[in-house]
Amino acid sequence: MKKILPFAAMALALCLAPAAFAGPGTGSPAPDFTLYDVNGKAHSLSDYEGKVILLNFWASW
Amino acid sequence: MPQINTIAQDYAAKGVKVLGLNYMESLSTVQTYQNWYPNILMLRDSSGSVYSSYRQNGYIPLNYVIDHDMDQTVRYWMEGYNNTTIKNQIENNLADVTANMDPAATSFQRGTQCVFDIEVTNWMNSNRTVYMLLDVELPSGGYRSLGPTQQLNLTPLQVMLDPHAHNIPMAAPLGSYRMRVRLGMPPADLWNADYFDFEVTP
Repeated sequence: MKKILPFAAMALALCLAPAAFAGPGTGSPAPDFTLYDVNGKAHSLSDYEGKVILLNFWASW
Repeated sequence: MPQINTIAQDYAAKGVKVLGLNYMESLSTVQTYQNWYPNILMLRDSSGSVYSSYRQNGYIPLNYVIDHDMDQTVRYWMEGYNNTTIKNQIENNLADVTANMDPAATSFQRGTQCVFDIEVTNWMNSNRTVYMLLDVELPSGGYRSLGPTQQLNLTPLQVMLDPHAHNIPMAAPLGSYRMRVRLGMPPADLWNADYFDFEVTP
């Protein structure tokens, strides 16, 4: 029993996972982050609080 | 990407910032695109962790339009790209009044003045009243407010140039500072903000 319980908890967590990992919906706050530019300078989303922000995730492929 | 670069250019003065988050590619790739599209601020999501927290159905490109409010509320998201739609979503969220800072230099000596202009623009065809707050982030990370909150009464389409010169005391710590301006309706309705970074040197 002791061994099964953690597995049951894990299975439950996995079932909930897709919802937990979905990106923010319309009307939700955008999650803050800190990333580096090509010069190694750090930028956070919160640095641009007060701006309308267009966030574009891209890849060259 | 060329269309997004044009948006970044056309809307910068209206309080829009465009961030291009590259998904897990090399510095040289991102550098190449940064050179091609200089109006977009390219950032490196090297581990893909930021994409993970914004992921919808797993497609790239993925775009978000985020409002100028203090919560940075998501107003729209789209996988793929449609320029007309993205432009309309940005237009829908533009602030009535914006403030843009223009510093005279990127470093100032102790004992001199930090000199900059703030250009306040009322984009609306009617009067607007808005409050302006100026503060500076110190090298220690703390903030110091520069003067009281100022009430601005703007006529339709008025552009107001507000010159500033703030004394930098000899005792000011050396290092990186950030001058910030915020416009809105206190306590919590943020319309627009801008900043510039500068160094204080001996």
